[in-house]
Amino acid sequence: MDDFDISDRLTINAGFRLAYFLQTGPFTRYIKEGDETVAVIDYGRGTNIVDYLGLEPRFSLKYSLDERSSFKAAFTRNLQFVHLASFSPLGLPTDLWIPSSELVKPQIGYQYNMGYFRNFREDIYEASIEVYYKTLENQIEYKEGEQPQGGALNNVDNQLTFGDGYSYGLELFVKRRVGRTSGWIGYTWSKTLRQFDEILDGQEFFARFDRRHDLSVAVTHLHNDRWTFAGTFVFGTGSAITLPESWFFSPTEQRVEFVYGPRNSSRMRDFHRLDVSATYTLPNYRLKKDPDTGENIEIARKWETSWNFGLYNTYNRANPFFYFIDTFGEPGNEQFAFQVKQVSLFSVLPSVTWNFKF
Amino acid sequence: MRSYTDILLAFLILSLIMSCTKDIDLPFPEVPSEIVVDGSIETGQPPIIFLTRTQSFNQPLDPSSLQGLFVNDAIVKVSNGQDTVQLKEFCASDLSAEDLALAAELLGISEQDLQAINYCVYTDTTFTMLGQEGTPYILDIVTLEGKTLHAETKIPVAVPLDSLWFEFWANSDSLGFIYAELSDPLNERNAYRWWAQRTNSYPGTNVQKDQDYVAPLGSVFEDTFFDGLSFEFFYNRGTVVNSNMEDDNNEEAGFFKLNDVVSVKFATTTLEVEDYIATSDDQLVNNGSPFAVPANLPSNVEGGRGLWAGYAPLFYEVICVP
Repeated sequence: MDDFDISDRLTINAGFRLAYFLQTGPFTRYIKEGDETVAVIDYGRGTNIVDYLGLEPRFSLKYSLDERSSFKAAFTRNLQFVHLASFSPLGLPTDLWIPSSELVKPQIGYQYNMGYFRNFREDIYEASIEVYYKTLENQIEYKEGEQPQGGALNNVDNQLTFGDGYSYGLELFVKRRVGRTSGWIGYTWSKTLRQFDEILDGQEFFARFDRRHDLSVAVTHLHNDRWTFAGTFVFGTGSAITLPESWFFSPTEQRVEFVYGPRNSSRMRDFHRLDVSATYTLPNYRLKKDPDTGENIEIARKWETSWNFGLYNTYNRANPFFYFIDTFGEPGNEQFAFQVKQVSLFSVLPSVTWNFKF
Repeated sequence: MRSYTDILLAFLILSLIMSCTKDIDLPFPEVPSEIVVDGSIETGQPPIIFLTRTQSFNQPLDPSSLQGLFVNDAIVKVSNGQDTVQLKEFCASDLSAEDLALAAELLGISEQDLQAINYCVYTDTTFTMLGQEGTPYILDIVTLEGKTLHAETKIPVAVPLDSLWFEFWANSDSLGFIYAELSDPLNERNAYRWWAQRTNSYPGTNVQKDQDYVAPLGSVFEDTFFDGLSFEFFYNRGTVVNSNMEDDNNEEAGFFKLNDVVSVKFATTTLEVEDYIATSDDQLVNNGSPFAVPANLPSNVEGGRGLWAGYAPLFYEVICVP
């Protein structure tokens, strides 16, 4: 990785990494055809099972348009040897990290982004607008109907199916760098889609973490030497989840069976929250009366101390953590019904923190 | 170390206290309904087919709504490869008290429930198409709207249990499970299902403990892990979902009790049936579980949803004494 100053205005940064991944035994591979195990291969300790070698080049350039503005562009290719498998139907963010294997090829991401950066008002403010496009190869999802716990005499990766994805978006950022009141606003519009031959007949679907809007606002105000006030507001589009679209009643089993909609075709409710805090900083000295003169003199403290009073989730927003469906009554009585329920964590939560430095 | 544990424990307790659950209404889409087959044929019994429709998620579940789900006046035919019979539809409201009692026994649904929802069923009232072991059964349906459905199943050859007995659970002197020994045939893919019905009455009453056979959760299994082996297994007592019976909601829930007289129905079935029922159990158990993926039931019905199942049941009686 190195910087190359092509001219006064143009700087290029380029480099590469070589990434290598090796899976070794002990390991037992169950080879499946449908649900049937047709072969079992036992790998001894230290036996090489599979390895992957890949180049990770990166390139970026910065072109200074004038003293206050610049244009930047970048390209990177990255390999990742662990994969996130999302398996929660109703939104609880419980996911499984799965390493690469013979079946699970390394994730490969190509990212292209460019942006315009500019400072305003004698560098008090800085702002940027960036766009990006990213392709994602060798993505994983659980096959339709597979349960993560159904892995006895099986390999986890036999339950997976493989596909690709892509993501694109626009990021806006404004920051006030100096002054008694400082802070920043960041907003991202993005879209992340996936395509798997074995899911939805190859149609595209939203990634679990597709988030159309993401807004963050952070403000800090230095009221005086003692008091500092701060606030943070975040907003995000709800996660993509898979919910039932319809149901049917089974007279034989006396049960209601759910028919789930296409993968990740529903949304959790939007997430937003405001946190505020006030910090009181004690003077880094204490006053002591001089016994000779009778005047107050400042004695430096050994510790710098401050108290922080915070309020998490100030307006007590019940943000969704996960959903579940509750059923009541029995078939044949009037109370037979079901209801979607939302579980939220952390309502308004006050906090007091004592900070000290020595 | 102790202090870290305390902090972690305090955090978890705080998380639980601070979390909350509330009812929410989500904007579920209106989706076109599909025809659902809920049908089976057992050894020595005529085919029994319920035809219903799927409903959009936010539609009500009360008895009158469920009653409206039955698909009437369809042409339903079952063939065993040689003979074909057209099934006749009848609804609970059309039956005399005597026939209703017979229907309840045949369908395994209480008379009260049959009347409450006015179940409609297609069956062979001539009793010419009775299930036989080792025979395939083909189901063809044409609805009034012209929708066609097709499904195939088979009644396999029944594999008998070697023995059954009752054992107390842990240190209990009155509650326990029913154990059985099974010798699975070698080199065949076999699937099984278990039901049980307590045929004795509650003390001092004439009320039979179970009106019907009840399948516990996990009532199906297949022989991937025990092909050709003899082994023992046991089952707890199944309960009807959301049952309000006292012994389904106290310490006796899930247990058979000393001196219970239990009829066990143990059926050999197909892998398709095993997969469908196991997935249905998964859906029931995993609803709300953070460690599950959405699992639509793997239908063997072309043109619709549901299951056309073949069972070869054998019946056993167990008296619950150790």
